[in-house]
Amino acid sequence: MKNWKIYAVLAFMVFIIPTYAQTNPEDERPPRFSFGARSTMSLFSHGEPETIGVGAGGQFRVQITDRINTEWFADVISTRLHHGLASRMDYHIGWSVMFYILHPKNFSRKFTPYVVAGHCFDYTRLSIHQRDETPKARWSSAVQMGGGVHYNITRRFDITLTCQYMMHLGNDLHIHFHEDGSAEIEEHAGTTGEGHLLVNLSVNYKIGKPWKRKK
Amino acid sequence: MEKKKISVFIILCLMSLKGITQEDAIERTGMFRGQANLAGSYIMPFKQFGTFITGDFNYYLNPQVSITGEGWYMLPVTEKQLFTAHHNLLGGITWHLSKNTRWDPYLAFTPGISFTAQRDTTEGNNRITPVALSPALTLAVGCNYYAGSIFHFFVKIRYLYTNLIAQELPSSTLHEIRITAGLGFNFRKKKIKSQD
Repeated sequence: MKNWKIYAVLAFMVFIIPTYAQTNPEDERPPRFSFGARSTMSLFSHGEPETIGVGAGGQFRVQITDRINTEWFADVISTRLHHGLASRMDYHIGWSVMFYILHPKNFSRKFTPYVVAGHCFDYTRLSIHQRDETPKARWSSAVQMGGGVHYNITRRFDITLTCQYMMHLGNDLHIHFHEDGSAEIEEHAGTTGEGHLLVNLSVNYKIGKPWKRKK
Repeated sequence: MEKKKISVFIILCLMSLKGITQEDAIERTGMFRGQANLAGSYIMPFKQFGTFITGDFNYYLNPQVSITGEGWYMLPVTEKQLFTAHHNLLGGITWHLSKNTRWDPYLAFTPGISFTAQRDTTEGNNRITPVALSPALTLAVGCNYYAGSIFHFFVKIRYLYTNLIAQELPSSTLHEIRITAGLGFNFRKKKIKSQD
């Protein structure tokens, strides 16, 4: 049931928010509101470098000043573990602050690099396949930081590549495979710093101003 | 007689090409286009063909950017097909390479979710796994040709990548190519001045 709620949030971000479109943006100065869709690859997931997770989601951005933008996102990532014998689903909903290293000049530059840091809530579910063991899940919180770059096709439309490390702050949940072929899902209390490297490719469109700027 | 037929065919081709190259403008901003159609696919790791009912829409925010939504429903064609369900909901943004011309080549970036159920035939089993959800990475290239004020022709090729997660089977990776083409419809709710 929880999964459906999370997918409902994703659907809201991807499908409903774009209907906010077509306000006149007065493009010259922030604030700006933009929305987009993202694909995610999860690398080095929780200490297992051979696993690659794939994910999808959406985000919107509220740019506050010329150099500071905020991003509000939700995504879901599925990862095959132990050559397909197990799997992991990660659901994220969170926000990040982006600081543009170079002045974006109203996004007239083709490339706009930035550093990013933020926080998210996550729900993780681990399953061992072809076994009777019940899947285990946990809610936790995470922090992420990294860097990225916008490629501005026009001032309103960009493709963004972001690379950031997400570190989970909640209990550690992982699958332990024994030499005799048995396996179990273990949960350890306390933060271990486990996490994953997330590479996001997104497309974004600036649709207008969320509020009027004071003169 | 044969030469005459060939000459008539060449003349007809040239006439149609002349019609095609007349790039009279069509205002895209504020336009809505949609289609529903049949599609075929090839699922590479499993060497399986798939048949779908698919529908999609675009709403043009400006001549080169549109919001996209798509639905794909896999049809049960044979009793032996491996996937009894492999449906998708996709959403994202499409980048149109030309501005306000009748020819409309595009690239679509539309991540989404898959609803997949497989036939489990391992060790004498013949059961169907419950429908499982998983995220999908997809990219599409295609082209529309706006032949009239309310209809257009289209062709689209989509690549889809997803992890198949079913508790009863080892998880696996799926790569798929989908192709669809046909007739779509377009209309404009209101004319909005282009802003870009």
